[in-house]
Amino acid sequence: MQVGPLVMAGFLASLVECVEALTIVLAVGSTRGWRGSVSGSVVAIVVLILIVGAFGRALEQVPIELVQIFVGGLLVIFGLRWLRKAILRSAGVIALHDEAAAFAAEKRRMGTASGSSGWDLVAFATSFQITMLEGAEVVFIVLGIGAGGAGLTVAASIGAVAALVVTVATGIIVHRPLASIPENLLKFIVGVLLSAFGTFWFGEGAGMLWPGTEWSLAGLTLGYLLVAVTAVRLCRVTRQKGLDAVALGKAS
Amino acid sequence: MNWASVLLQTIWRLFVDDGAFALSAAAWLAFMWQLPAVGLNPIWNCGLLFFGLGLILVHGVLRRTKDHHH
Repeated sequence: MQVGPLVMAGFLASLVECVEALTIVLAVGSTRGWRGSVSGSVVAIVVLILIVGAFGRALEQVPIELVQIFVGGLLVIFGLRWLRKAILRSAGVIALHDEAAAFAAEKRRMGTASGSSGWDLVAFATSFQITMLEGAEVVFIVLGIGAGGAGLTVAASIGAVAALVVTVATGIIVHRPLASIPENLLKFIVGVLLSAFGTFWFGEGAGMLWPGTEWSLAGLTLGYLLVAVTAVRLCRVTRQKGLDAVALGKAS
Repeated sequence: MNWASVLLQTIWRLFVDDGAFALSAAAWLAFMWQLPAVGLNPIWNCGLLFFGLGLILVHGVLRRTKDHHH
């Protein structure tokens, strides 16, 4: 079998997964800081390499559905929590920088000074989860393409590593323009993306058939965006009614 | 407070800052995980999964907004 098509297949299939992870890592880095975001991603890649090195082809016995259910489920809960806060911020219910205040309070409570280093656990955990999930997909792609023999696995691995290099280079180029997007808008987008990705992977793991397979991600993203925008409007109306009721109570 | 409990609390807070909201989402996921066994159209299940999570999200933010004024 020719090696070229296998390298290309590994490259293209892995590139799709890498770009999906990059989207989240970039958005998280722009909103929460690059140190936590990049280190979460790097640690996930190292963990994946160690797992692959330790277990090799035995990993083919692990059902990908279980990985999708577990990590996808965590991502849904994590993403919805993030989106909920972004909606409440946009509606003016909570302060724009409430998390910085909460973190400072937590730091005081724990009596540590680690926050001064710019370390952000939320950014780390988010990037770690999405990189683990997409990285696990890449591992299964490589194992699948290379199922015919050890040499084929090497060819598919070369394609996957090339995809990773292209993705990292793209991330370095596009991360600066992202900084010009308003912080709360980016946080809003991250919440929408995390929820959409988590829902998609959980559904895949649960045996659901997404129409158009990975194209459903675009539909889910749009769907969550519509839900979130509607929720912001509803919250603003509810908040205004509450404020009016308070003002009426004071006047009387 | 030892470091292990601080670590566990920190991880817990990564996922949960409103217990009822997180529990609702987790319960819906657990329900949807078992739903394919019922034999409904798998594409309908996708819509149901999204619809339920969207509803939980809207309910969660509205409840928080109302609590804010009470």
